[in-house]
Amino acid sequence: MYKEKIYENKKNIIVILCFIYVLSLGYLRTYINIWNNFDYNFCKIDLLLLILKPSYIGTFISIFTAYLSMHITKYDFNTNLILRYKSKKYIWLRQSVHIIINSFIIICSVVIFDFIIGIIYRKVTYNWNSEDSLFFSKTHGMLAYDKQFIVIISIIIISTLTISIVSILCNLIYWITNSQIFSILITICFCLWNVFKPGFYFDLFSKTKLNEIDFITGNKLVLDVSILPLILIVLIFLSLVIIRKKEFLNDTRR
Amino acid sequence: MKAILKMELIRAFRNKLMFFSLISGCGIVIMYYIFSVTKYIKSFYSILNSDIASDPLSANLCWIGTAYDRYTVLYFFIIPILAAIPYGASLYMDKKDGYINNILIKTDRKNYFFAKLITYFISGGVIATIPLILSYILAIISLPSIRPYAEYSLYNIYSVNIFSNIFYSNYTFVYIIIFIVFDFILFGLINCLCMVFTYWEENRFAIVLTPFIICYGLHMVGQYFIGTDKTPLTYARLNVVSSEDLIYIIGELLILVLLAIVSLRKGKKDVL
Repeated sequence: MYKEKIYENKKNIIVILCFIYVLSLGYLRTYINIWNNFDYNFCKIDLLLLILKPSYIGTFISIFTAYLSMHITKYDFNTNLILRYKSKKYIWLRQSVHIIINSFIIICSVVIFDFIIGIIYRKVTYNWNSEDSLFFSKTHGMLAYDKQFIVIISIIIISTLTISIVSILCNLIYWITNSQIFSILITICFCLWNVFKPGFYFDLFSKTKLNEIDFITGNKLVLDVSILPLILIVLIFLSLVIIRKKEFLNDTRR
Repeated sequence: MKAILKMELIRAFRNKLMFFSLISGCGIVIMYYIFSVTKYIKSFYSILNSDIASDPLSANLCWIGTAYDRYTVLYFFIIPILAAIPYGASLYMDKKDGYINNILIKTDRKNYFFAKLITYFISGGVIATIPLILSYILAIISLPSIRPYAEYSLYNIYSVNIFSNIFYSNYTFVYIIIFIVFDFILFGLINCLCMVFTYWEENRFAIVLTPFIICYGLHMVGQYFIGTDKTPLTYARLNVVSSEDLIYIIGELLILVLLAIVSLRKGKKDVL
């Protein structure tokens, strides 16, 4: 079923992915220029770590992923599909799983893209164990050995969970308001507000952001990796209570 | 032509969603007034009460157009969506529920699509400019509209910016009118993108969101490659436009006009 959804939305997926790649390239280029100006010796892992910055994940990855998620679920409320499935609970869980898979695929593609940018700029994969690295400067003289896999996996997990939470919230608003436009409008306001006003109580992106030092202390990493799945699961299952009273009206004007 | 245009305008403006869009836009302006302009007012009265000579704050400084604030950013970022909500998917819905077939029996195809395009333009422009006018009215009833002087260095309008000579003159209100008219034209043309993408997208929400996605994407691309001053979400604030960027802006506006004309031609040739 997911494959069919991907196939029917391939035009939009390609356009949105192109947008994300172009913007990623611009974002990375800005940082690469700054680091080159200061003669910092950075590696591919440093580029990947930028994904968790609120100005990267918050400004475009989350917004475009939420937009794509809305595209993927756009036919789910069609009369024929509603009649086909047994319960609202099943539809909601199916949509949530699709959103998580969608987020995972997008994040993996962004990670691969960032990695390719690192290759183009001829950077080593990992230099956190060297004293002339960006990591060494940022952590005020610390070194980390063989952390590359932990870093990559934690970036993928945390960013997938973060953008899944945003997209599922967007989908929940759709279930409540019955309007995809309002749901995406609220999501955009939420993401932009988080980025322009850091310190906001529900500032998801700043709270899940990881710095280089967090991979040495490990506290925030463990907290993020353990709390975010919990938030996601609670969100999905609490939403089951909210969507219980949903009526599928065959409104042709929507 | 006149009758169909009138009918389309009524459909666009006597609409719950139009009310929602205007309320949302004005809501941001009122929030801006409560949280930002009140600070300017306090500062103005504290200057009046103190013995220290200082530059007077003016209404021209603290309306949402020329000020730089997070509310300003939010307003100019979401206005392409708010402008598209009431009428953006109108043509798509007309095609979907067969309304267009009933209309085209009674009127010329050219008149119908032209009326649609004009209504897209006017509805987008009105939604973008009414909150701006409200913000200016709130500013002038709260603070004096003192003639701005470049020597004060209070205003973020410099000699390189276009129409700065009008702003720093006795006719500052002319600058405000130019600002609002420019935004009317810009957001009106951006709203016409909905009509362009009606032939490309098959989903109501995608059509309504297309102007935002394009503007936001351009803004982000501009931020990293060509500079944000050349993207619609930034130059919607006319005070940041410099004379050097004018050629890009005219080029972008011409592209928008061209796209609107293309959508009109495509509409005329569309097989229903």
